Amino acid sequence: MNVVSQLVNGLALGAGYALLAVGWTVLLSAARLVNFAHGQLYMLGAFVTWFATTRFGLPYLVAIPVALVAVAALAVVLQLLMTRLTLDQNIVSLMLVTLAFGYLLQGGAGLIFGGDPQIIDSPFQRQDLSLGGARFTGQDVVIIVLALVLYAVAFYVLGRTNVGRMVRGVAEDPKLAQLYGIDAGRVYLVVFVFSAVCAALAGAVVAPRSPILTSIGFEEVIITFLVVVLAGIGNLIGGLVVGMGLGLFTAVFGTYFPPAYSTAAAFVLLLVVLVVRPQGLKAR
Amino acid sequence: MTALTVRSLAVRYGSLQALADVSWEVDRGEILGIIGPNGAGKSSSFAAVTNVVRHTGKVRLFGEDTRGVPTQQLARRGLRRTFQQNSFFGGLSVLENAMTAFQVERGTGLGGSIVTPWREARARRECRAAARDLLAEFGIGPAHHDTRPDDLPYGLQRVLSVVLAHGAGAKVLLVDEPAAGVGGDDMRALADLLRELRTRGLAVVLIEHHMDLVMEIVDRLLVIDRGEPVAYGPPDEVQQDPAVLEAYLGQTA
Repeated sequence: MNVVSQLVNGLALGAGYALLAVGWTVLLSAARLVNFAHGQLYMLGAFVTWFATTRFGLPYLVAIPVALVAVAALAVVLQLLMTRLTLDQNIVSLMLVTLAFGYLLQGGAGLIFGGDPQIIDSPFQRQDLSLGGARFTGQDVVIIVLALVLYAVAFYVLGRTNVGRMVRGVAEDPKLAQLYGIDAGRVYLVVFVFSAVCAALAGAVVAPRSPILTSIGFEEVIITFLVVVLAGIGNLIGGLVVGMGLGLFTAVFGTYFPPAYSTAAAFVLLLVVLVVRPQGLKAR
Repeated sequence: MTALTVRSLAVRYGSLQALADVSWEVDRGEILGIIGPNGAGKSSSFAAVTNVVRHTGKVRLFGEDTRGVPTQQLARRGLRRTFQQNSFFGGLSVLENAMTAFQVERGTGLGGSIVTPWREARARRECRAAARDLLAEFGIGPAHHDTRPDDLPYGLQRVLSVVLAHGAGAKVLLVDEPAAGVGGDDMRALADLLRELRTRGLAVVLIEHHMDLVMEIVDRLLVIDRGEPVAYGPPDEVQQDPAVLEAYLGQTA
């Protein structure tokens, strides 16, 4: 593969990381929460899409919304179970509870979808494109475009709308927000569902690039965490840039070294950055 | 109908009786003062009335029992409080804080702003215009609008907290030590602000340590000590009450 192909590959990989991170970034900045079941929601997005295409014979583009709705419904249930913990900002309990959700979802998915690797049949994946000698698929383009669009939407809604201001207010001080008549519990619910739907969307569009297993998710959640911390907690634009950058790093690293070392290399990068700049790459 | 009626309010934190059998009421166009030594239960009574802490007793807002009504619902019905610390979002600009005050009245709601962006845009313009008017009306000029509230002069921060609560549609306003840490001209400004809100028909409940400020502006005064009511009535009468002198000023008459 030539260098340009590696770059496109890296950008697609990075856009996938960025897609995974956008939900978590919003969750962190708006609710000061972490969700260790994020990777399993990604896995479910992929598997429900696969299930809908193979069992119900739905076209890929119809199967994606089905997966998003299914994961959104699941997210509502999860967040309703956690509402009390969320309002009390009980972070340690929430970490454990979401980790437990992650294992439950993984086990449940194994029961329903089986333990075999599966491949999502996406028409975009079969589309071979080339540009300036670089070879890539339509799926790569879909992932990159979707990441850019989703970040633009999140940036607009959080930064420029009444709702975004409300969400930022709740993030800062839920008790004060309630005195403005804002239902903090509902804001948390909407933010959590949004973040879950983003994870599912990432799963549905990234997964066709390689075979999927119900055990995927934990590696992804670690990478998401890495992107979010590197970007500086809650920094949306940073999430996009760092996600893309990490994808490029992994792709370029993979051309010169065995790819098995790429995650370790990414963490070395994280260590270096955090030692030099404890606040992450965020400007302020 | 009385704006806010509180009957036999009691709050208990574990084995500590923070408030016991306290009753008061305040009507629109009135300022009620609540004074007492530190730990007397003043702030606890605000937390209880806004349903933030569990309590016993009866609280009626415009005649309606507030038992079990969530804080944000009470806020929508006009019951708002400020805190001893500044009551604004430090991460938002002064103007954004003021816009948040108009959120419930004019906002499009969580789903609406995404589904109908054109209505969201209009609501946003309306919120911004209302916010600018509100700030200008109470002397917080455009030069301050884009700064963070923590960068305002301290006296203005205290004014902002009260103005925001008023802008958010407070009909009954619970003000917790607005003059904490201010003096002189800033205190005058706060006194004028509270009088102005009274003139506009708000029911104001004021917790304050500055006795001269309290005596000057309140219509009625409640004195509590260690959670128990000591005296309740017009300020000049309460001031003469031997029990008050004993409890609050530590003097015997």
